[in-house]
Amino acid sequence: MYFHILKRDLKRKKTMNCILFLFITLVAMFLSSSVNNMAAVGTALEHYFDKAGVGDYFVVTRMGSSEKAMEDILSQVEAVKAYGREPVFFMNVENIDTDIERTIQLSTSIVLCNFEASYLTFFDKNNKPLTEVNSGEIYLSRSFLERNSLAVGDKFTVIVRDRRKEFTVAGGIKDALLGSDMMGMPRMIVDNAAYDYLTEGAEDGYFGDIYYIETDDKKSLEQEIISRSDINFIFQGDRAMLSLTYVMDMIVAGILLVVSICLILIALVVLRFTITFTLLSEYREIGIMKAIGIRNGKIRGIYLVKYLALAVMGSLLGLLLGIPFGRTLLEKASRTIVMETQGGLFLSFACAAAVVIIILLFCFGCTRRVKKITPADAVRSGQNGERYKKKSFVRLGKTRLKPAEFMALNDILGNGKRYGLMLLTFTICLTLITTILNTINTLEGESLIGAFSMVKSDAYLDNNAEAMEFMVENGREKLIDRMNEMEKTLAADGMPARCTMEMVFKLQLTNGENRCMSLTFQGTGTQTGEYVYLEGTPPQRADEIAVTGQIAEKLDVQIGDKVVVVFPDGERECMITALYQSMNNMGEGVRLHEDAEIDYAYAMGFFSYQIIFTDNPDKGELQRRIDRISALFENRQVQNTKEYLRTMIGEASDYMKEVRGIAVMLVLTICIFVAVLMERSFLAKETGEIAILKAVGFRNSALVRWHTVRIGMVLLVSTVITWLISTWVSQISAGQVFKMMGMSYGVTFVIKPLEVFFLYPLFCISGTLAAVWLTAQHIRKIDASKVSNIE
Amino acid sequence: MEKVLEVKDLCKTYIVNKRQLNVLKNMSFDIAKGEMVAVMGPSGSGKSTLLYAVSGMDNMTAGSVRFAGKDIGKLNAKELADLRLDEMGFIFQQMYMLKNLTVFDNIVLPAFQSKKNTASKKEKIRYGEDLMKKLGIIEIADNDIEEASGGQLQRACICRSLINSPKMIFADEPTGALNRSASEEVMEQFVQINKNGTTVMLVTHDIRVAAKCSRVMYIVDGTLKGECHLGSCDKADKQRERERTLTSWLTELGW
Repeated sequence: MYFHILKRDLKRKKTMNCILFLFITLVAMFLSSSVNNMAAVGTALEHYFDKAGVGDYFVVTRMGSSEKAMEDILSQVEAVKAYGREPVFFMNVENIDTDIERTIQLSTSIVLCNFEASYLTFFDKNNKPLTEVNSGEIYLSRSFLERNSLAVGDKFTVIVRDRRKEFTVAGGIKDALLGSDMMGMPRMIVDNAAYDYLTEGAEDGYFGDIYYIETDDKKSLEQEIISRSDINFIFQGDRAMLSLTYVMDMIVAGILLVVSICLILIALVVLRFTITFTLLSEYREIGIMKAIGIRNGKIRGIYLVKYLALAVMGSLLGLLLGIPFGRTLLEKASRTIVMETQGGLFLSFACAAAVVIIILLFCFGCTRRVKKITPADAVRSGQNGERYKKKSFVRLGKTRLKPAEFMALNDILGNGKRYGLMLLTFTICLTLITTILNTINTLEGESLIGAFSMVKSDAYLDNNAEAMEFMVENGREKLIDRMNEMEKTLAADGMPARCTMEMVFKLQLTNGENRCMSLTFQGTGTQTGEYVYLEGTPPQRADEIAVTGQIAEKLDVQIGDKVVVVFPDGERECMITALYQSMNNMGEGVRLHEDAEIDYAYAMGFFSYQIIFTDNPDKGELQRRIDRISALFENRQVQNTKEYLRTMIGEASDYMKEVRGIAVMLVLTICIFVAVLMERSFLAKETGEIAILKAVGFRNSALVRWHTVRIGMVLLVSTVITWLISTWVSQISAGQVFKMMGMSYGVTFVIKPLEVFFLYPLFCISGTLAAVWLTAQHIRKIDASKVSNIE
Repeated sequence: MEKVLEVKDLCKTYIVNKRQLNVLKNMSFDIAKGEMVAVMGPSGSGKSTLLYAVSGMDNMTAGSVRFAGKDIGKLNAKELADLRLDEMGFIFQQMYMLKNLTVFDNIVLPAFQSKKNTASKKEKIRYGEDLMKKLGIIEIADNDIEEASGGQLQRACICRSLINSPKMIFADEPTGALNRSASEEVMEQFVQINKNGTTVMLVTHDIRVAAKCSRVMYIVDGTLKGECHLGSCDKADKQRERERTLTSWLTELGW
């Protein structure tokens, strides 16, 4: 009997069932693939780190002088079980020449590595360990290779001072330590002879070492390492920190997981609506079944069997579709990670099964209404007269609305629950889009520059070629002279400007027993008052500093406390005057006053020259000047704030843009599905009302308008709600990713009102309304004479 | 006398399971302005189909229907809708109304929808209230339809049918769902409306209802079997006599 009823129901409510089926399929597909992806990447990382030999703790140092200090620690500290040292040579874009015509995209240093002396295991694209590097061949980090469209067989020349060596690109490698998108430091691997030839006689400052340490006591090892002031750190960290740098490989899956959760919510909302609607329209059948003695359980079973069938079929299809979809997601991650498996079928199956169980439990809850229906209700079509709810809220005589719009408004106000569900669905959908848009706009906006410990400037001039010259004793004076020269050159060309540059150090800070290493910034040509702080006042004197929240927490200090900063020339007590937040190195940072004395020979890095025009040029003039500056300074790369930020953030916004396309289409599809499903239900329920309105002389167009406007009003209210909550939702969702990156106090989202509040909602609203309008055309088929057949 | 409705050779055929079912067969009749005509006949004889076909609510298969001089077979959907809105009024056995509107809003809705009704908003509202007062249901104006009785709702339906001052009212068993006293009250309203000059065509099974009409048409199997002219219903005391006349006429026809 169940099969018979099911078959009849599937046939009779084709559209409703089809939409529900599609929803369940989408939910199962997204859920299984995204959970699988996250689990696969998460578990693969540990396996990958083990296989590559990353160790438990790693340290990257610069300058040969650090070597002895590190050897001392590693041989003396008991916590060290084993370690490997890998000599490297730091280079930049000026050291590279290729036979391709495009400019090489490289915003950071690039590491030259001697294969024979390397400790880490590198992998090729097929996840096979790299076993040899032939003479004349070079292997490059896979992401660097892809970003610059370099192919196997291309010529690649490395230049160090007066020495040139041409290599043939032999392939791309996966590098566990430096290969993630966020780490963004590419590696070049050459043979021993080529490495020696290129680095022979090079200045000490270009050499460095990477240490891979195995330890069972990371904390004490870290304390030992950071207590040494004679080590020039570039960065150091553990596996947990390294895993975080791979977060971008999971971000698409993460967003899809959020989408899946939203989809489940929407599917449940739709399901509830459908079940309630079905029960309401089948009062008579249910009442008659009860009248002839069929038990509640049996009656509920009819509905449960139907939804079980839909859930099982939809989940199975979603599971099948989720396999290739999940593989596509994993492909992105497998560019940089060695993954043994392509995700477990068991996990996908468990997700699909979870979808079935959730839907069934929900259906079971929704069908409780069956218990309340009495045989008498069958005769009265559900109107038992016991409960009465006011349905009319607006009066025709008291409104300026036309009849169609008036009826639409009254329907919404009179059926709050029904339209509330629709409102919830549309709001979830639109909020999803606005959150993604806000995140993209924030990543691409200019305001984030402050989060990288920089002042906002008009132009950013690449200084890779010469900045190393300032990382020497008296480098500061040299840098100031250089920037003065630049200012003169710019002024002579009609571009009055101020030049600045950020130098980066890695210093140790202590407060009693608490100790930590932190990136430390000092601006040359800027004043501490120009940077953004969260609390307190900018450092006013040489012995005052500002720290990020993370550093304050590690040292257990507050504004007004004093800490000891270990400068290269000795310890100094400095007062904390302000707190700020930063996305450098996952949130660590200390800002020194511009007058604080520090030897630039101990700098671990630098940012670009920053040019701030003092005559406030307009947008067009600014672009012209950017082009002109490049010509003035040996055709070096000059970027505006947005372009510069892009090189700092990496491919995060590109990932997000990929997601945006998928999300917009998905949201539109969901909105259309939901709207069409509900409109079909309304048409079925309101056939009588439509017929009566036709009989009294309403035109088809007016009736179609009534139905379309009704959903349009709900969409409009959803949009307004989305406007109100979008910033809050962005903070509690995407804001967490920024928090992981170091913005522990939250980020101020860049909101483009036209795009976020108007264009995208308009796109969704118009698409959905078009679908509703088309569905409502069914009204034309309802005859006025059907009025005599209304039950 | 001016004819409001002219029906000539009207046919209505349905195809059921590939079989042709002729519900109306070459029906021809006229209804003059100010007439009150009842259509009677056994169940399935085509009474309601006739009402829907001549009022443009349903398509006809053949023949012609002229309403107020317009051939409704040649009107498109929009023109038919406008004709129903402005020139016709409809009342059905069940008191169909929009559940989300008050009784009053249900009544005045066609007036606000009509483009031909050029009265101001205030005038439309006042007219609606006047109609409700006349039919004795003004006290339920602001009620939801679920708060009104069947008789009240049917009178509200009459008000709605009159809101645009139509030329003719079509009623399909208007008292079919009412008890005897409510039925009496509703029929009194019909008589009053007719006296005020509105033409009425109604379908009924009830001899008491039909006896209030000036003419009764009897149809069997989609064919007009005969007409009984009872004259205008002026005096209440003649009602019994009219009912007797009608009963004997119907009995002759095999009622």
